Amino acid sequence: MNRFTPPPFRGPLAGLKVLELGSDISVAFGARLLSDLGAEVVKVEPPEGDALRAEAPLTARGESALFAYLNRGKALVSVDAAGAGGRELLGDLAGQCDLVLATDAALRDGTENCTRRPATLVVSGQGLTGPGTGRPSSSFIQQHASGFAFHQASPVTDPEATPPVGCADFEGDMAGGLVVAIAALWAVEAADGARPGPLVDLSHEDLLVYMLVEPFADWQAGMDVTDRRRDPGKGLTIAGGLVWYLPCADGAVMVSPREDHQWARWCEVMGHPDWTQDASLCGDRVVRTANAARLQELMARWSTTQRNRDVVEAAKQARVACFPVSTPRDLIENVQLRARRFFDEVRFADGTALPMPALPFRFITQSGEEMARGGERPAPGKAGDGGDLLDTLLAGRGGAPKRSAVGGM
Amino acid sequence: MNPLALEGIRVVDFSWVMAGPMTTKMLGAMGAEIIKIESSTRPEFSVRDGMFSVINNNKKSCTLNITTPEGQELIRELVRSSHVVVENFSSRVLAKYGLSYDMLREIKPDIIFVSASGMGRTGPEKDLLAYGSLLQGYSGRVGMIGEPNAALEAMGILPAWTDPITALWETTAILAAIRHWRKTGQGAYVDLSMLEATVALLPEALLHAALGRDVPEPRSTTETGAAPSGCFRCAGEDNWLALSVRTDAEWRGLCRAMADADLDGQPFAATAEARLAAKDELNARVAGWLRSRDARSIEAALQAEGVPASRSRHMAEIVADPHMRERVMFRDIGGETQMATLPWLADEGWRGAFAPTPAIGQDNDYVFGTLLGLSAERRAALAEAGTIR
Repeated sequence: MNRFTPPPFRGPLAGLKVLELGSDISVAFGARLLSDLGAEVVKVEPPEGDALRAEAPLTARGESALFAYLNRGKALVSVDAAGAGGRELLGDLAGQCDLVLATDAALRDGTENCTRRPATLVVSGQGLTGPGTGRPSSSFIQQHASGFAFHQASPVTDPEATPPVGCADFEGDMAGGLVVAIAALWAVEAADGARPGPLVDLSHEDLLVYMLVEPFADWQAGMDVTDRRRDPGKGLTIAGGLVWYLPCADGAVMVSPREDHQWARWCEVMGHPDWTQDASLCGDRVVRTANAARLQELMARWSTTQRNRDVVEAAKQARVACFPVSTPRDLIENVQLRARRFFDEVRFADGTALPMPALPFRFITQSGEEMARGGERPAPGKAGDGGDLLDTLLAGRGGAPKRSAVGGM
Repeated sequence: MNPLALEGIRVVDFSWVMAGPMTTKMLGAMGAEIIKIESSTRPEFSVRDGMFSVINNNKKSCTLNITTPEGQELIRELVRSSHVVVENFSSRVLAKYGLSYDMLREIKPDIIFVSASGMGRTGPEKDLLAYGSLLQGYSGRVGMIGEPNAALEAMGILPAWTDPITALWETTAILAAIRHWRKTGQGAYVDLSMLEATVALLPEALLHAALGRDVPEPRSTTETGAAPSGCFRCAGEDNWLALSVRTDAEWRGLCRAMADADLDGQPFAATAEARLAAKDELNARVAGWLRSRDARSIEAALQAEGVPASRSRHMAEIVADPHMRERVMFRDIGGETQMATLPWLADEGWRGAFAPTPAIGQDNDYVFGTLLGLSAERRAALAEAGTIR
C-alpha cells in the first residue's frame, strides 16, 4: 500500500468501540453484528472462558463452531472481575468505549457504577424492573412465557394433541441479538457521548412479545386469542388455502398457486389439467380454500411419487411459487446463497473450515466500496488473544493493566 | 440524552405487507419522519384493519400514482429532500417506474437506498416469486418446528417470522448506514435477502450439517442438554407448562416441588448425564404428574424452588400482566391499548414515540404542499388528474 491508497472499507460502523460483558447468545450475536459492520468489539471472558465455548457442535479438536459463529471478528480478553483490580479494570475499559453490551449479571459484577461508563445495554430474562423480574428462566421457557409458543401452535385442529411449540434452532436468541444491535445503535446516537451513559433495559421476554404482531392485532380487534382451536369455517389449511405443504418421495415442497391462472398452470404441472374443469372442486380461490384439505390429499398422491427438486423445477418453469422445504445440507449447497457469497469460510486453528452465514445483505457505499462477503475468516482464538488491543485501549488511562486481573497476556 | 435520535432524518417508504412497514415503524419510533407512499386504489393500503394498524404507527401518509410520469416526478422531488428510501418492489417495477437506486442517486447522490426482496437483487433466483410463508419452508425452519402435517399446523407458519426478522435486519442495516452518513456524508445501497435473513438465524442446524452431523434434538419442543425439558399438559382446558432442568440445583428444586413423585429415588437421579440418558422416561413421569395439577400453582412452586418454568401464556394474559404493564410494554392511549413501538425500555419508561396509524392520504397537504411547495390549485389539479389519489 502506498500513501495514496485509501484504507480498505471496514464497514459503516468503523471507529465505534464496543465492550461486551457476560455470556449470552443474544449479547454475543448482537455484538458480532456490530463487529461485522465495522465496529471494534472487545469481548471480556472470565479466566475459565465463556461457557458458550463448550456449546455443540465441536470441531474434531474440541472448538465450538457455535462460539465461532457468535464471536468471530472480536478481540477477546480475559478478565477476572472478582480478582484484585478486576472491577476497576472493567470500568477503565468501559470508559474507553462508546458502548457497553452486558448481561445483567456481568453488569453487576463490573461496570454498573462506573462514572465514565458510556451508553450501556443490559440484557436479561425479564428486564431490570417490574414485579416479575428474576424468575428462573431459559431461552426455551421465555418462548412459552412470552406467548410465542402458544401462538405458534394456533390455530390447530386438535389443541389437546398439539402442544405449544417454540422457535427453530436458536432463533429466539438470535432474534434477540438483532434487537441488541438495533438498541445499541439507537443508544449510542441517543446518548451522544454522555457519561455515565443511559442504561437501556432489554428483556428477552419483551422482545419475543414484540414479535407477536398478528396475535396482538387479533387481541386488539376483540378476537378470542385464548382459544387455539381452528374455526372450520375459515378453511382447513393454515394459510386459508393459499399455501400447501406437499410431501414428496424425498422431502417436501410448499406451493402457493393463489390466482386462477397460477392454479391452472399448477394443474398442468401435476398432469391434471382436467381438475380446472371441476368448478365444485377448485373453481376459484374461495372454493379452493373451502376444499383445501381435499385438494391437499389429491395433490399429495401425486407429489409423493415425485422428487422435490423435480416438482420445484417444473413449478418454476410454469411460473408457480413453489420451494422445497430445505434441509440444512441443502442450504449449504443452495445455488442462490452460493451465488450471493452468503457463506463465509471460517477457519479454525486445527485447519477445519466451516461455512457460516455472513450478514444477509450486500452493503455498498455511494462511492462503490462494498462490504466483503463469502471470504475466508479466522475463527476466534483463545480468551486473551486480544491482549494487545487491551493494552492500547488502556494506554489512554495512563497505566498498564493489573496483571492479577488480566489473563492471556 | 435525546431518545428521538433519528430526528431530522426523512424516510420515503414504498414498502408494503409487513417487513418494510415494521422497519419504518421502528425508525419512526426513534424520531425519523416517515413518508409512506400509498395508493387509495390498492386494497393493501385502503384496508387498514388488523395487523396494518400495529405496524404503521409513526408515519405520514400520502397517496400517489407512481405509474404516471407526473407521479414519478413528484417522487423524485421528494427523494431530493430525503435521506432514506425503503422499498420491496419487484425488480421489474423498480426499473419501470424510474425508482431504482441508480436512478434515484442521480437526484440525491447520498441517498441510503434499502431494498428488501425474497432472494436478494442478484443471483440466479432473484426474480422468483417468493411469499414469506414459502420462504419459511425454503429457509428450512418449517422442517425444524413441531411435527410435519398436511395442514401446516404448529410448524412455524403463523405468526409470521420471516417478515418480522427481516424488519430487524433491515433496521440494523439502516441505523448503521445513517451513522455512516452522519460521519462521512456517504450514502449507501443495501440489498437485503429475506431468505438469507431467515437462514442466518439457524446456526445450530447449519453448523451440525457442515460437520456432517445431525442436530441431537429439535429445540422447538425441548431444550437440548436439559432433562426433564418440554411443554406439559396440566389440569383444565388447554393449560400447558414448560419446564427445563439444566443443573443439579434445578434438579433438586424439581424434586422438592414434585416431592410425592419420588424422582429422587429413581436410578437416573444421581447425575445430569444419567438424567439426560433417561430424558424420555423422565419427561413421561413429569407429564403424568403434571396432568392433574393446576398449572398456575405448580408454576409458582417450581419458580420458588429455582426451576425454570412457565405456563404457556397467550396474548390476553400478556397484555394484562402487571409485569408487562409496569414495564410499559403496553399502555392505554386514547382509549385503546397499544403495544410499545420499540422492544426495549429506556429512562423514564421511554419505549419509542407513538403516533396512531395515519388515515390514507392524511398528510397529502403536508407532503405535496409544505414539503414539495405545490400550490393548492396545483394539488387539486393533480388530484383531478389521478396523480394524487
